[in-house]
Amino acid sequence: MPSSSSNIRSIQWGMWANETALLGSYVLTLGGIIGIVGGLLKNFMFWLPIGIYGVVFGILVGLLEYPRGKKNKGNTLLRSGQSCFSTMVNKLPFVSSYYFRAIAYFIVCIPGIISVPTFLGSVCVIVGSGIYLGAALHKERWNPIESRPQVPSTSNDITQPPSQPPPRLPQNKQI
Amino acid sequence: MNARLNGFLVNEFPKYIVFLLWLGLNGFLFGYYYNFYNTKKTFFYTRVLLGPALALARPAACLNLNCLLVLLPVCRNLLSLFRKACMCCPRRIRRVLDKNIKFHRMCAYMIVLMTLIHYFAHCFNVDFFTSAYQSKILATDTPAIIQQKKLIAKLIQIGNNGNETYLNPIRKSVFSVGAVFLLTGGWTGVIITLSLFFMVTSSLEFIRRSYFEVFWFTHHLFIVFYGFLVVHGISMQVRGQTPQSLTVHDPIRCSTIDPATWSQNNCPTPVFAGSPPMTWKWVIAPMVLYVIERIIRLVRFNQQVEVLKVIKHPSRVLEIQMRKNGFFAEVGQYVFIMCPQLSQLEWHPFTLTSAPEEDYFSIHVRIVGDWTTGLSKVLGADEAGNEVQPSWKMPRLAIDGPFGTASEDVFNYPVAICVGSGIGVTPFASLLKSVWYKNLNPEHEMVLKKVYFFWICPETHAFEWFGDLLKYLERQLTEIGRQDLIEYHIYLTRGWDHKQAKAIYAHEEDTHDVITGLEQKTNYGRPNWDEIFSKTARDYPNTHIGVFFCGVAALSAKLHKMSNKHSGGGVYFHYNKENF
Repeated sequence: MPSSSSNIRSIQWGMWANETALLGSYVLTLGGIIGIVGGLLKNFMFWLPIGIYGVVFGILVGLLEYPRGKKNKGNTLLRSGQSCFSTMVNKLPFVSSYYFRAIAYFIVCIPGIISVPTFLGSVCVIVGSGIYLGAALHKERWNPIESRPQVPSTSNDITQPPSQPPPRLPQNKQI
Repeated sequence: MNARLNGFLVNEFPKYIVFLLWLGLNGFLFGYYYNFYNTKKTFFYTRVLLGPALALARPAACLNLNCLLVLLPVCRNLLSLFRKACMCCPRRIRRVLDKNIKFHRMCAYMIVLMTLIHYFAHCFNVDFFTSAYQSKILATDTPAIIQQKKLIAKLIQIGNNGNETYLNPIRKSVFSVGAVFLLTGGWTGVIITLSLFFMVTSSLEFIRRSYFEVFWFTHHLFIVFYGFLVVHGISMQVRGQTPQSLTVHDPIRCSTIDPATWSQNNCPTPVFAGSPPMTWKWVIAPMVLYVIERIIRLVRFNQQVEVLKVIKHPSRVLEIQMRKNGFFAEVGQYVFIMCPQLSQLEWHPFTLTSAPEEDYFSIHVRIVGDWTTGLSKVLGADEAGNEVQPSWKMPRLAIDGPFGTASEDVFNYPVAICVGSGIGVTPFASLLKSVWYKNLNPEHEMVLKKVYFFWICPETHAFEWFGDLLKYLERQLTEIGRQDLIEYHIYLTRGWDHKQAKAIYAHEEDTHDVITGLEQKTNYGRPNWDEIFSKTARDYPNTHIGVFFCGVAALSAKLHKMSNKHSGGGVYFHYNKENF
């Protein structure tokens, strides 16, 4: 009986890892801001330094994750304004490798877990890094989305809906 | 202006009422519980320890409300039953039920927002609880601050002696992140929030549409979510002074007195208790309803579906005629189909193209992707020849549904304007067939007297089967002299080129259209909706006209606008949109 394994094989885990790491970075940044605010107001232990750390690395991870990689099958939906980030990420060394992302995010987020506001964001990014590891083991990597050159449409006769009705006798004209 | 308002009231009002009601309820709960924890004397000492963060974290009632509501819109079978039961309600109220997935998402967004507020407020609370143990009286402190610190020091050590009850659930100095795991509310909260996070990341449209299994499996984390949500408050860690203790120990007075002298000043040790967990009361009913819903789906899954006929139409369209015991569908409803042989998880929606009057039900499937290609293969339809696969070879299919959409209401209007664009034309196959069948029945006088059908497509490619259906209906209606019952207009938006123009002109005098073979001539380009609507309004004054649409969103918005615009002065265009 044909199993659904063909579906599992075609899942590109890197795409989901990307979403997880990106949203995790938002939570981390937000947690960092709370940490800074709370640290300044109440001077709780570690909140201020780890808060700053959380904001800095949250933003860095976010910038790295924002450009979506190329999907294996079908069209990839671009995030708005991602083209400049995409070129930047393309130029950086190592980052296209998901192994690098997995290990880097894991190491970067360890300090985040020692303060309560950044705890959640760090754990989210760490799990994202776990999914990246899975993707890397599946031999996936980040590929930039090339902008396709404009293909001139072959049927140049019919591109716009016509503004004039076709030639008909007047008595057969309808609305 | 008046017409616009009329149209708005007819088409939009119920949706906005539901939305405002929901928003209002959330706002009320938030405000009420914020105030409760911010002002009540019961929590006076808790506020000494925690400050305003306590009141901010407690409107978890909003979370409870949305966790209750979020389960309900996905019980599609129960919604269907509810819809049928509410046949007496005006149809514009029932139409609100079509927006169930939107509502589910709205509640989910609110849960995410409230979770973030709840989490960050509790971050402060945890650190207040733990840092209370490190508080030291400094030389630079004012008397007020010294009193505050002494009070805190006293409050946190209440509970250390035998019969005392505690206020601070953290009983000794620990590292704050460690405290998160000491508190039941803490570690269950971590599990709940992580489940929520993964449900959200995998439900993003991009992931859902590209990798459905990821979405489906991960979304089942809601079981973990609800499981831990119910026990989240079980240790009763938000504590307040008991009412009996309040009568003998007034916190407002005693907080100004040095705690070391409390026993001399008529301030006996306060007694604290936690509030019992409330969440289960909110979510138990929807959880039970959801379990019932899944049981219904399982029962439906196990019911046998007989594949009667598989018909190959041009342009890779398959018609599958089936029969199932006890299955009955109204016009324009849809079903979810699953083929265990292809995938255990995927249920795909298809509109029924058969009329309820027929003794089988059918769907037309266009073969475009993996699943449909697989389906065509297991049905034996991918062979080049016309050999019919024997019935014992036919795959097992499961049907869930039928699920109601707006098309059921079409028979309640005296006049209906039906617009189908592209693949959206499919439900109208069922509709037009049913109009024909109902018309044959002399006993029942139909309310519906006239159907204007607009078919808009770039070209008729892939819908030749629909063109054939229209041809058939045209013939049948002419035979009984009722060709004016259904008036249809076909618009080929891709237009005509000069080669076609020659053919059109040459065949102008023919009774049948040269492109589609139908009697009514095909139009080219897009319809002029303003003219169409105003002419219909003029032809049918003082009527309620139903506008039914299925197809692309842009055209839906336009028709919606037109319906609102031309309503008024006795004529009302009720806009109904089908959606999947």
